[in-house]
Amino acid sequence: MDLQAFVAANRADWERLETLLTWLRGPGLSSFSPAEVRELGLLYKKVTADLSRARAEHPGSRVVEWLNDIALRAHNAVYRAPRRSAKAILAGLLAAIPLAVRRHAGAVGAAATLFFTGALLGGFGTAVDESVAEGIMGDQFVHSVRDGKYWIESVFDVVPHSVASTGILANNLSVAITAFALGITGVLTPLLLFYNGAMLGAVLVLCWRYHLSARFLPFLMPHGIIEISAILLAGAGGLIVADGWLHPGDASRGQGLRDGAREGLLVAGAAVPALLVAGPVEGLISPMEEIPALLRVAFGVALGLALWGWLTLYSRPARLIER
Amino acid sequence: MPVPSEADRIETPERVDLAVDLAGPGSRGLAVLVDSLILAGAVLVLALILLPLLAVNASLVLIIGIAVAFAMQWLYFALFEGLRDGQTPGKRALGLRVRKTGGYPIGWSEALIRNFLRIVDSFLGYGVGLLVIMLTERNQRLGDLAAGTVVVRERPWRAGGLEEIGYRDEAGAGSGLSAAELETVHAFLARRDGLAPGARERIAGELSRHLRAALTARGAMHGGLLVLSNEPFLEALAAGPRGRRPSGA
Repeated sequence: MDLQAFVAANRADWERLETLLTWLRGPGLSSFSPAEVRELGLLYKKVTADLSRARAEHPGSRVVEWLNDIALRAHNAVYRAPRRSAKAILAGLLAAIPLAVRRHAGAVGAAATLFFTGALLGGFGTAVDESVAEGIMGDQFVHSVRDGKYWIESVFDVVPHSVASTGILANNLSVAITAFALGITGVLTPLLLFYNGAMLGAVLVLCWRYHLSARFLPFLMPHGIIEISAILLAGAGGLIVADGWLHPGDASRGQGLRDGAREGLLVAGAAVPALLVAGPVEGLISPMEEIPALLRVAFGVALGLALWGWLTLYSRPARLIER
Repeated sequence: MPVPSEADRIETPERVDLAVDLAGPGSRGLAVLVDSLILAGAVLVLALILLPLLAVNASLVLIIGIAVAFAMQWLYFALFEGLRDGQTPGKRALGLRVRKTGGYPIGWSEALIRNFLRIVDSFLGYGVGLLVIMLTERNQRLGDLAAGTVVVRERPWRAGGLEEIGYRDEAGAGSGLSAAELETVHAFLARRDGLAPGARERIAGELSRHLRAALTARGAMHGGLLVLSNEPFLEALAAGPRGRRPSGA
């Protein structure tokens, strides 16, 4: 068909689609009548068909470019992702995160192995030679512990508890996100897990040796269990990203990376509620020496049980399955 | 016609491929720069408001400061891209948008993944991201590869574009040229700056000679066109009778 005749025969439909798309930008889809919505879908299909015909019969003409342009706009209007409310998203995550953690129990186990291997080596190394602790934590810290100075006290003397809570929360979330993101490098997430474990091991051994354990452990326990769990979960997320592109199986490496990132994000997402609780607990409850040590430890254990109970046992009640 | 140097294809469920322009490292870098300036401006405004309050309630000011610093680093890009269909203010200013590789709108997981991995892409002053963008087929940085996204360049919206490119309805079809002839004229005008000087004059001459003859034979050669030399003659044909009509709103 001659180009001019082709344009003349179809331009009424094309320009109608253009009008509908203009309305879509202005008043929006909610102003459309059901008939107009159906018309939008049908005209989109017609334009894509006209586009492929124009490509075949009139390649290189500006009509092809113009049709591509309008078909693209219509495509973006027709295939729009449905918006979900924040409540629906949170309800979905409440069930999806535990399922992802259970699917990737191996990655969580690997993260725990890296972390606790680090803790063992850091602790053992410190027990043998304190310069190991100096290497991990810095000279200053080790010297002050050696002098019997309880550093937690000096931190909370300077900073109000509310500010400390916020600072701890922001820092922990940053560490968690970084542990997830570094997964793509393959090596940095395992290193981060190992190093954080080594820090914990070195501090525990130093405290024990210089008789600070009686104060430090009741400080550590209330927030420590869920905070360490959060770092393990975020690290596991990073390991899943790494594993995704290193071992894509039958999929392409790119597909493996994308799948790993989605799954890893869900697993790392488990760290967010844990850290949202751990931050205020570390700022407000952990340093309260007026609260009996046993009570603080029991509180920490309860928080840990709640977190891991959610991750291992929770499933969506059948009646809430989305429409 | 301006051929996009780099294009991605969307395969629609209707089995017709749509072409999308991919954004290059230059415009994407500029978009990040615009976003950084917006963030810096926000910090400045916030500091001016908060500093006097430091004496009143230092704790509150510090808490807000910590929260803002965190949001700037981790949430600004992800929230805007998640809420505004793949556009931060900087991307909006440059006409860029984040899309899934299939051309579909991104969701929250894409927005979070690509912006959490920004920390890796921004190693060495975005050197890592730049390198990966240049090495990948679709100009993707690591965050895009992991999220399955591309940054596309959107053409500005123009309604009535069919008239703009020279297809008038029957009533206005006064140039006397066939659509194929008009396409040829437009193709020449779009490419003439890239032609060697000799070739440019030769093609303009041949094209004008042919079209003058055709128009005269059809009785459509009017006085205004007669006096024009080759290239102005072609330009007048491409512009069409629009000049004689009041252009619509």
